Amino acid sequence: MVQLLENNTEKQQTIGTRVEKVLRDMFDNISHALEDIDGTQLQEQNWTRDEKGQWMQGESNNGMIYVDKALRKGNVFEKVGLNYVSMQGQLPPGMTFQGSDVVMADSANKEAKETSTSFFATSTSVVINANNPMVPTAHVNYRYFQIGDGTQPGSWWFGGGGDLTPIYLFEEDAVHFHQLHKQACDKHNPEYYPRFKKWCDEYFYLPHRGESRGVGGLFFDNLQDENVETLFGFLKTCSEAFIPAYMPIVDQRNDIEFTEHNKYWQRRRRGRYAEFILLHDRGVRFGLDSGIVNTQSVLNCMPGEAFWNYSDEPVSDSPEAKLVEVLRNPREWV
Amino acid sequence: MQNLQSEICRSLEILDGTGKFHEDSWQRPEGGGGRSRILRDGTVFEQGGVNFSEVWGSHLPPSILTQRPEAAGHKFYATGVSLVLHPRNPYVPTVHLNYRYFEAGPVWWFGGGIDLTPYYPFTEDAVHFHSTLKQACDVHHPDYYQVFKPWCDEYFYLKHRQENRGIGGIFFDYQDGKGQLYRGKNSDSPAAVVSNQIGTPTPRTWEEICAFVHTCGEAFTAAYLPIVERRKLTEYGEHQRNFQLYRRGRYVEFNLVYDRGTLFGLQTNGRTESILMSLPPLVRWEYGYQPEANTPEAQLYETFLKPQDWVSLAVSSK
Repeated sequence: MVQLLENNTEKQQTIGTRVEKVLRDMFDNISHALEDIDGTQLQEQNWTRDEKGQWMQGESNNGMIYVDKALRKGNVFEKVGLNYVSMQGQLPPGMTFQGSDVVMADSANKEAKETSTSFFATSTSVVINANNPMVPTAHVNYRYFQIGDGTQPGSWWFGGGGDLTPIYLFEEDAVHFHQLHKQACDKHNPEYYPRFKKWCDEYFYLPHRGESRGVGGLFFDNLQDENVETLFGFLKTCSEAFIPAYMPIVDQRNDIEFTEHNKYWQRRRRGRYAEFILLHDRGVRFGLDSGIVNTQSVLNCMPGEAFWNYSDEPVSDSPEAKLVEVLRNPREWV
Repeated sequence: MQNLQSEICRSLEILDGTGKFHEDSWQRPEGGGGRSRILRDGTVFEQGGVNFSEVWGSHLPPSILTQRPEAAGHKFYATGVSLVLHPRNPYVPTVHLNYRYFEAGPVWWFGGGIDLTPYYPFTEDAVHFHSTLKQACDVHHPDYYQVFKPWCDEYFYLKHRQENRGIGGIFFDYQDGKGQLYRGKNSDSPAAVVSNQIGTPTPRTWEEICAFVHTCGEAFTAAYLPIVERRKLTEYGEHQRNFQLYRRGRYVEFNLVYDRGTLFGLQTNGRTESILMSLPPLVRWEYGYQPEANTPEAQLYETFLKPQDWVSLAVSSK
């Protein structure tokens, strides 16, 4: 595991602090919304580093804030995981950012090897799995990265998105989720929605299954091609769009009766979700490899229960087959 | 390899009593195919699969070429048997076996191994499993076990959990009868250190390595079935079942994050159902689970998920 050293320098009172606040509000608001719907308080876990740099439970310090929230076997939700982090530190010597990935610096580049890179990162990520198979799974994550003081060209970027993963397809839910995200995009730039909708379909794709993970939503990464204020405003609007895009769907589908067969199909779809997370999700792979946050937090996004079975394709014309059809042929929902 | 698949399936059906393997043959568009045999909802085995495959193509995938650059630009042929069994009773361990053979132009090699993943800690099972494998190795070379055992511990390791997948067994790769026995990536791991101490053994022929792999394959029944017999009727409750389902999550994590065989299969456009046949049926994830102190679950973490010299344990207890 890579050791990252946090330092005590003052956090910038600039864009970083403002993004941090927006993402913290998003984290708190989604937590409250989930607690209201479920009627259960989320379990909260704060993290800090011990003298050796290992993660341990405890109040965050050195200006770093790192909190997980979790719910298991709730009234409405099977498993919920939320992570919030805001940290400033030094990447170990030899490591640097390339685009939005952390890489080992070129060994020929001696200078890059010997100077460590200071960074600031803040992120909120949420995965919500409900008990009722008629309620779709949702994922939302927004993040901001900055190298040094962020004044160099290409030294900061935004990333994130929100996407919906139905177990059973209700077309109006997909339309609603996309519509709210399109509205958020359109407030800032009419080109955003088509661009980030397509990016989402491409990113949340399981090539070995020939299926999309779900019905998509928005996704973008390494966004830095515009004025920082413009992109900050966009990120803020997106972060506020998730609750109205998702929570009404939970309310609407949660009381539908379901069978053991529906539950079995849900577990199998959860298996696909686990496959995506462990095989393809870049954030998760980065989290597991880098040790920037600990494993328990990284895998807070795993589903509660999953099931794998050797090939059993859904019966044709069944509701299950209808879902798979849409996953194989992404649609324009708006 | 095909005979091994058939022999193993026959012995497992007898042991299970009710479960039967269903065969599914498949073709790979780029060349080759396979024969998957799946057992579901048996008395002993909740789910299990024994897969035989034989594939060829114009070029090897990147996951192999980084290890064997001299195979670049050559056609390849690969054949192998793999098996994973997920028992119902949490006292019966999960087992995995894989033996494979590659050929690409001027190079050929054998690889594979077998390893055991218990949910509950039984020292005698671990000792029996390892002693049987050591005997199989010793028939062919006195140094095999002492390199392939730590290599297995090194391979079946979940770095992000800082846990071994189970109690290990043996693992080897790139065995072509030449050079040192350890051919992994780490220069300072226990397997690498032992291998360095041994130095370069006398070269062995294709037939000799093949015979070794054959003996290993045949050792499966002797290594695993007696453990199943001993544990399959042990009574268990919801607590043990929950722990088993939670630990199965680690199996999923290992196979999807680390396992080179899985990644090789998916990269070569292998058949997804056959490759992911190794994944367990029902699995659970919990946030922040910790076993209670002084329980069998804690003992699993403290002793069984860390490398142990099981064979010496047998000698010292006699």
